[in-house]
Amino acid sequence: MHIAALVVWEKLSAERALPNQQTVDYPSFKLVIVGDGGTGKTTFVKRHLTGEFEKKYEPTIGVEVHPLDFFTNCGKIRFYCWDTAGQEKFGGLRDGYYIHGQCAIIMFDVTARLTYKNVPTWHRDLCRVCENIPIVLCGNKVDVKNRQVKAKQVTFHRKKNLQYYEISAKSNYNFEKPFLYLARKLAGDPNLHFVESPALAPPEVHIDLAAQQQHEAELAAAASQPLPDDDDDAFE
Amino acid sequence: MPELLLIGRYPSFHKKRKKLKRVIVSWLLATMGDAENALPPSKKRAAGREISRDNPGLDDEEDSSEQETGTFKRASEEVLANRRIVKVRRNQTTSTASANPFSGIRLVPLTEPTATPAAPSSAPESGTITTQVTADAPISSEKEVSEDGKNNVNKSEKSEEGNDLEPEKNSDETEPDNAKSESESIKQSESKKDEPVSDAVADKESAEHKSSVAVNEETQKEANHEKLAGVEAKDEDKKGDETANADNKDKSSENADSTAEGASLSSFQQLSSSQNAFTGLAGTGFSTSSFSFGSTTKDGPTGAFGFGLSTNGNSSLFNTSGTSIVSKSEGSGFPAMQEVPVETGEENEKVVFSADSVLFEFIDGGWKERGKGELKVNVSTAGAERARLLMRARGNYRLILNASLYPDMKLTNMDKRGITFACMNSTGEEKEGLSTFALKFKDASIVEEFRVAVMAHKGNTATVLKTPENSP
Repeated sequence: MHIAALVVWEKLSAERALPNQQTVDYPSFKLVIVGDGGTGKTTFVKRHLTGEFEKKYEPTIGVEVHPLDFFTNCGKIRFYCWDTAGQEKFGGLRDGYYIHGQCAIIMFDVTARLTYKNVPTWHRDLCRVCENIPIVLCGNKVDVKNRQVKAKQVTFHRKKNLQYYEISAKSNYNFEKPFLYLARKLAGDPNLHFVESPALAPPEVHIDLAAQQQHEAELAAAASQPLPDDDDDAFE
Repeated sequence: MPELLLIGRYPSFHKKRKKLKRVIVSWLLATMGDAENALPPSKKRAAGREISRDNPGLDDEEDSSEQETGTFKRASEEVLANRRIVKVRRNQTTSTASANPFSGIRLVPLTEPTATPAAPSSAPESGTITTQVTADAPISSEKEVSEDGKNNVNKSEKSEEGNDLEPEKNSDETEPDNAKSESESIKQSESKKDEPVSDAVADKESAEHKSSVAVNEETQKEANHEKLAGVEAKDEDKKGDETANADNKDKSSENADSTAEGASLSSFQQLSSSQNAFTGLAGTGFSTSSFSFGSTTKDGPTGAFGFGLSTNGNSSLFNTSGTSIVSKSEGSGFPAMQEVPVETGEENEKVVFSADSVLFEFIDGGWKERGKGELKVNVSTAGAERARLLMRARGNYRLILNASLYPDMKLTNMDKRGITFACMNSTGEEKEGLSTFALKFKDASIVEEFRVAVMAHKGNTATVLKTPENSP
């Protein structure tokens, strides 16, 4: 009897805890991104959000949640990216962030062997909370010349049925693949693909010389500032 | 068995659980015939084992060590003669519990020193049953077996739930109770990949289904049946591994992976989800779930790609809140996504210039990259001529530049094949107003082509001069 009562209680609380968090009128999914500190989780998310490549390392504290929209041939979808802290000391709620995760990315750094060795731990912690969700394993920084974890050495995904991608947040190599894979899984459509986001006609602008002159100072400063040159491989 | 699951979730019941296990084991042994046929110790992760952050070794364990196959025959007459025959009358006859052969097991008797004879209880159809009890079963092996048994039952329940889900999602593809159509569809889905395993699995399943029908009423063979389920799960695992091994990055491999994932759904890694626990409590019928083993693995392979997967995601989402929620998930979870026409917003435009480029925005005294991709100069073909710059990031096709050209637009060449200008970008995320952007092209000649294209379409300055404000 006691047990029954306990379970009923738990059932109720679980029901209560279930958020109906659909805040947009198109499908949205909670995506949990985990992995050791410094493997590039935040940089990867930022790359998608704003296009910039952040070189500076600022450890994430706890978690940062960013909505990330994609247009697909089946309509728009949204990932709420839960970019979690990799460093243990900033971990915050840790696996508390995984609750109700619907898909996940486990990131490691191919230039740091330890980050790959810790992948099983991240995977286990994740699966303890989120059972049977689609998970992508990402080896980041593959643009770096001397990597410590070769592609052949990455085997963890095989026994756990994860998808593996080598990515580079810096060069954008494969950078959309994890999202594409997860979107296909979540939509149950292997042929789903990303399509061009619609570009509505921009508002008619009336920028006269006066406005441009106000802007002149910035233009001059900008013109004198050389463009970053990390992207010389962008055209290859 | 549901009670057992429940208890597994609460450490404070640990002691009781052990005893309960013993009870159930002895019952299992009794129904199997003799102790020699007891299942071999399984390495499978058991609820009793604790894992911690410092002991992540479990991840490297192979889950493939399962029970051996085998048949169980009735014990010889001599052996039977030595056994006590215990007749048990069921105490409570509630409608829900009646389907549950373990419903007779209550926690109260567990406090008694010897729990063994209390174990065998009721059969689904008759109020009274006769069972043989081995009183001399070795304790050491008992525990192992009980864990195995538990795993199996767990699996079966889980799989049944998956099974329940499946027809809803996939109603036009599968028929829940038709093993034949199942195996056919499995073959279909597998044939693309030419995996010989699939046939074996399908055969096994249909065979299993038969046995599930035939055996239905006989508790003696139930144990046998459970064992079959274990074998089946093993097959599933194998298959999952194989499909997962194909690890290419093209579409077909993703297909394969998906199947693997579907399979893993039916290999039931989660042994102690509250869903299971709750199912047990609600009395959805242990016996029914155990008898429907034959059809259980359906959901794995048949979900070949499509919805098997979304079911996968679904169940994970709503697992924690019990079966009743699962039906809700239909609405709120993953609407079947329909193909929709793609609108680029460029339908009435022609591209007068396009080239690969990198876009930067000048922010706080420095350049920030906004993305790499194809930059286009588009001119409208309908109505008044309007021209705009348009750029989407490669890969995710995110719109990163969407700005009208304007007559006074000024372009300034920069070092490193760059060109800078001010414009109002409206990609939906940016702040309003003028910002400074720069584009970097592959080489200087493309920069010049870009300049020419913009100059040709940015509009006629003269029209601006004619406006009342500017005219003399």
